[in-house]
Amino acid sequence: MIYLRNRKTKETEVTLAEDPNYTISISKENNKIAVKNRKEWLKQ
Amino acid sequence: MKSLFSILLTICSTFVFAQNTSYTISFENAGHHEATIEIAYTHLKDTSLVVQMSRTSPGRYAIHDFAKNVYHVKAYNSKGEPLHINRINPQAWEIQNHDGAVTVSYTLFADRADGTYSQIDETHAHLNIPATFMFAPSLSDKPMEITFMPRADLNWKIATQLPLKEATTYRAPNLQYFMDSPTELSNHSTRSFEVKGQEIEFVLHHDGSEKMLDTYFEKVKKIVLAEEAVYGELPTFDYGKYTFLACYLNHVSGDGMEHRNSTILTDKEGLSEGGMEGNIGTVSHEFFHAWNVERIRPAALEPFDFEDANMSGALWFAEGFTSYYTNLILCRAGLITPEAYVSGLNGTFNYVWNSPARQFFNPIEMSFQAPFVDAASSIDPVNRDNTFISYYSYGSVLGLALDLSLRQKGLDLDTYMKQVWATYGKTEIPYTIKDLNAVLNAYAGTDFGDGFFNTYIYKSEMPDYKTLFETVGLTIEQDSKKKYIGASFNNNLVSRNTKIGTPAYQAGLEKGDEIISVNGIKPRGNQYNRKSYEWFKNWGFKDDILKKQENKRDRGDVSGRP
Repeated sequence: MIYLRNRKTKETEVTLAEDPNYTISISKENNKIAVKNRKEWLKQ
Repeated sequence: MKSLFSILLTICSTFVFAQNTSYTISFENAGHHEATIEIAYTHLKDTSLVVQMSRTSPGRYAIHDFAKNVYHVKAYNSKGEPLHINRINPQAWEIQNHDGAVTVSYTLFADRADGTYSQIDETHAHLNIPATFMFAPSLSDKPMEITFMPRADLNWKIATQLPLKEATTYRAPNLQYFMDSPTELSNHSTRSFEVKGQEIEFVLHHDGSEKMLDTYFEKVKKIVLAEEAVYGELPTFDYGKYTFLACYLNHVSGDGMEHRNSTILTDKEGLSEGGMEGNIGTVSHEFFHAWNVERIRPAALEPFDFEDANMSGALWFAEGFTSYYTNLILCRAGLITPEAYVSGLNGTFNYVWNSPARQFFNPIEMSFQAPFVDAASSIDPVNRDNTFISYYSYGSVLGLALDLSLRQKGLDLDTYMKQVWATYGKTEIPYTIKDLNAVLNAYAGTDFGDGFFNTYIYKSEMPDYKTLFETVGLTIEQDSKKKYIGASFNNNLVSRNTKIGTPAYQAGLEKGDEIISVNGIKPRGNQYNRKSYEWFKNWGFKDDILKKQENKRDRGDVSGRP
């Protein structure tokens, strides 16, 4: 991939990386202890 | 007898010759954002009186220099004769050769409604006290009175945490309380309910319906009760009442600001414009501050300094732990679902743990930067994308980690907060970070307490969230297929400093750089380039951002494109 910089007018190559962001979600596994802990935590 | 006579004489002298301060504010020229203010000082002992505007505002940590909006300053003696005024520094005026009484008058310009500033127009006088009123530092400990002159033609009423003396005159026991008492004059609506003998009042200035307010107030009540449950009790409010002062109008600036017995809530979104859901988080956050920061008080913020920036290393706790509870309370109160709560963790979590700033500062040092970032303004560029993590966010994810860690031991953060409340909040003994550490040690054991503080507060290591999340049935995953460049773009320009360690940073890209081509594909003038769009998308651009760019293009708003 090629870029041209506006200050120094030079081309740059960029190698993309893996996205470091995480996705947090409620597990689909029905672990009874974990579900109970979550309910206590969220006071549901 | 002689002793008793002496005591009586002292009491009488104090009563008769007490130095008095009485403020009056009126709004004849509200249409041009001006207020007229008079301050009557009597029984002055010193021959010189210095009055000044504050440089700061309680709950904000940067310098704001409110004197910049003050003009037409005059001073008179008790006979109404003009007195000479010396401007002794940018904030202060000195009046000499008075006869024991001085009346100071001035005009204030104010046109920003939020938790820091004031706004005067024909819809309201939204008054943050430090942004509005001069004060005499030599009389800071004395009680004072303030008479508001609401615009009767505009049906203005007065809402404030100040205790009412009579009619439209209120009292303040000292300068600290006065400065902490924002006041809203407007044609607002009020709801209230009682919790164990104390009144919770919700004042709303908006252009929505009373029915919408009724619905919203039911949410407010649930939040109040859910937060009371965390600590086991409400604080004892100074005058038996806590007041939410909300302004949801298009011409205000979004904000929330805590005070001892009230809070300012401002947002551009009305209740019918998304505010019913979008504004409620600020209610949760600010009311939690009635305990955490107003009464569980960092020692570094006491007394609050009106003449210089206020710095505390405990904002990761005061603001951060409050932020942790903000959405948790909404979930516990049934106002958002558990799924929504968990989903809401993502943005904050990724912001904190992907930031390169942790290599430079720990949470305490992040807190120290508040005077530079908390609604502060400067004109020189900064490298905050690489060196700063908001103590709100950082503290929030640390609160989450501490809560889940305690729960592994059969303990929980609510109980820890209760113990901090009992030791330092209810007693109103300002705390240090060592004190917070000690309370955790006493509650969860020294190994646990010191381990948490030494690893995550005095250092900036990352807790093992994967294990912690598993204990409450949450998963945390990364998408290895998704690509990442680590730069933000505005059209073809790199819009922010690139983050250390990212591909963009390694390649030498920096803010202001212009993308001329991508794999040889060049944007064409002001024309939208579909191929460019695809490449941007591959870089990890969020679809919603791309759509916004498309919308801008569709409206013909393409200025700045090459």
